[in-house]
Amino acid sequence: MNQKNHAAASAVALLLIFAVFVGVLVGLNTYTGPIITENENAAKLAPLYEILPEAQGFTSLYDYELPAASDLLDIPSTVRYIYEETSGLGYGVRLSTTEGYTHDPIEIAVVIDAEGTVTAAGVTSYPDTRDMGVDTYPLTYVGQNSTLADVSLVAGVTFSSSAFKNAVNDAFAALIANGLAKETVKSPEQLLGELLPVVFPGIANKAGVAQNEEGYEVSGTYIQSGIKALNGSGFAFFLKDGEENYLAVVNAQGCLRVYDPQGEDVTDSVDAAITEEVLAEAAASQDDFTKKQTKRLTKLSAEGAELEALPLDGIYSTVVAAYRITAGDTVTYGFAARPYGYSNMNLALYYVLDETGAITAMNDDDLILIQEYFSDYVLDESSYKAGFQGLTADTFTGEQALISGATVSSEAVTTAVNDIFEAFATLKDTGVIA
Amino acid sequence: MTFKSLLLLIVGGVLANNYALEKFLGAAQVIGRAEKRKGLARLGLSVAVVIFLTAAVVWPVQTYLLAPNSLGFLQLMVFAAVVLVITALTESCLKKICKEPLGAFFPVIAVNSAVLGAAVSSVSSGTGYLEALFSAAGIGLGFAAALLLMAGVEEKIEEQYVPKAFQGLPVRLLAAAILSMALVAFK
Amino acid sequence: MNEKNALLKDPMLLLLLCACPILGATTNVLAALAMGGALLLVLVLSSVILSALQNMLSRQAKLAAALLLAAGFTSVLQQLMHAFQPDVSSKLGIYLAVAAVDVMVFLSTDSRPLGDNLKNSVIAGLFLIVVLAAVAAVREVFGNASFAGMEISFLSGYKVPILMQASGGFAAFAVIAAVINAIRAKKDICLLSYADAAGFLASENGTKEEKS
Repeated sequence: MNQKNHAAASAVALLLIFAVFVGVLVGLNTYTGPIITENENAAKLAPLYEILPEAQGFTSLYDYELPAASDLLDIPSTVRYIYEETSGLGYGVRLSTTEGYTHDPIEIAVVIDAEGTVTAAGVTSYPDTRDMGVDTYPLTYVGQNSTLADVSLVAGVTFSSSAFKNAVNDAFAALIANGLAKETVKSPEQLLGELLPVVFPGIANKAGVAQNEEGYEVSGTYIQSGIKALNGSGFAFFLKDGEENYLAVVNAQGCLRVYDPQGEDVTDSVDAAITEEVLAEAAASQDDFTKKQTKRLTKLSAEGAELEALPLDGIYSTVVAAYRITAGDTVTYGFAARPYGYSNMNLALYYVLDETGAITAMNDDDLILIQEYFSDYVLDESSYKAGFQGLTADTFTGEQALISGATVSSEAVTTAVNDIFEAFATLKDTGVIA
Repeated sequence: MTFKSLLLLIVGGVLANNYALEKFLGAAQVIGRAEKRKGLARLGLSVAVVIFLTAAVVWPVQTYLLAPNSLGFLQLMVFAAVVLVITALTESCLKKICKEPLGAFFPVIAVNSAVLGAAVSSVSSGTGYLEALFSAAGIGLGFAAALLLMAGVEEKIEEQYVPKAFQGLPVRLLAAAILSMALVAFK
Repeated sequence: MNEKNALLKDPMLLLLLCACPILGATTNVLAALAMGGALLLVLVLSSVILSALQNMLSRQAKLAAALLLAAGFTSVLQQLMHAFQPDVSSKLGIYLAVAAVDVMVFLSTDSRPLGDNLKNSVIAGLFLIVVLAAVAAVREVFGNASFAGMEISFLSGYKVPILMQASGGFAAFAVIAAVINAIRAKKDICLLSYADAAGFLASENGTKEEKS
């Protein structure tokens, strides 16, 4: 039967073709497979050769796609590949970070020698619109040790340059954790500098960099240098008493804390002369926002309301003032916060909370600062403010603060609201609020 | 993956990432004039079924057979074989279900670039099985949608005057150019 | 007989069938030439083997065999390209893999002796290379002010970026196709639609099909 024969023959032919090709491909793969892998490896190593042309070769110590195959442990997530340079020049590390301004990956390559010094650094791919000096900035890291003490951030591009710095830090962390490079001990001054945004979040912007008011300089018997918060949230002073280094932080209400380089609170144990000098300087230089704050908060409350300022002990956030507002029988609490917005300019926000801690009203000086004004933002101020009514620490997710097209301002508002809820909770815990 | 994101995969496959009009995969089949309108929807959906089934079979094959044994280079051959088998099966099933045949050229149209493209892309970016299925469904529906769109456009073209040199393929390509521009708005 | 040569005589159909690589691989002249070369090789090799086997195969099987052959040769080519020309192969991307399918339909139409098939394949392949190069030249020179990756400085102010995208690709292809059409205008060419082509396939292999 011709049909059946035909079908059988066809089937055989098809299977034959398939089998032959599979065989050919398998054979071909044994030959080309290694070449292809080599090409891929060369592509991975290209950035390292670019920053270190004198490298002889690299052996792979860690590949983020196959972490189990490596002997190394405690590798931060930004580290992609670690190689050892074959002639002893050190270790090449390739990283990818999304902490920059645009949150698109920034690819970084750095070579660190066994002594713990950076011998080469470079940026492989940089998506940010703001130029941090892709060719020049990485060179400032060459010769640095693991403390990265002498490295500064690029003004105006703090997010991306800080992302770069954190990446190099991660590279050091990975190598030090595995005993491949030496760790250099940080100086007390550096430790205190890094401690500042941790103990006084209100003074730093979203990238964690403390913002100093332009032109502010101070020195004294103990005070070595000082920062006056650009948003008026307080002060930070770096002190030296003999051989000891300290960090003193003062918030907008004049509350003081002193820390040592290990992060311990030593407010009670330092010399009284030190605390006197610090408090005097802070009191002399602090801007007074009381008038504006009372005006705005009174506007949010009933006619004839009385404001009583509350102490902000232990509160070092963007909250600069708190008041108990008494209007007849009702008691509410007003807060003023000054978070950093676009270009580190600060917003001034005012919220009134009722006795349970729920928001009843909101006011502000300016929600959209001039720079962001020119982008396509959408904001109906009255309904935006109304959207905060009734929110508590549990129900506030950050979405309620969203201004479409103005992400930085939205984030500033979110920070302020979170800080206010936290301040309310602290005041309740310490008994200031019944 | 949330259900919302899975649905978005389908919408994306039809509008933003239409394989025929954005990535040119399957463009040939879409632009060449096929049968009259009535049969087009059925044809398009049948091809969508083939694409969906191919992705459904191909994903486990890649994940459990090819990848663990480093047989990636066999991908094209194996996928081609899978596509052939599924097309043949679909055709015979549909012949039994529908009384009108799809036409002798169903295999020709079914085995198009979009099917292979969908198969390769569903295993490429380390997607999960569910994601692969949904995006294949989106691609298939996108192909069917592109077919219907082009047919509608052609009806309009036939009523107009077209210069001799542009008659036939070139004017349809221009129509496809405009359609593709319209879809860019969905990206 | 005359109609058996119709496919070759109608360049439009060939262009239509290979629309995918023509549109996808033409953002760079080098990539387009590489794609053209690949298509030529795959066409020639596949048609040789297919001709050798054509007596064994039924109509449906011929389609399947054409696909498997094209896929096989494309895989081999892909492997070689990955190994020795990784830049080009990454530029071609998915279109190289998919070229197999495009070639397939053209292959499965011929049932003539080996010599004729070979000749047709070579001619078709060369024709495709020319078209690919032409479309790529238009798209790259006017869309990106470069040629085969080398920048053309005096044009860089006059870029038409849409040429590098999907709709521009369709449009450039349309223009080139129209030019080819016009060159062949002496003969009375009408487009063989897909349906006609498949009907043509069917009648070629002895089955009667109604054109709708």
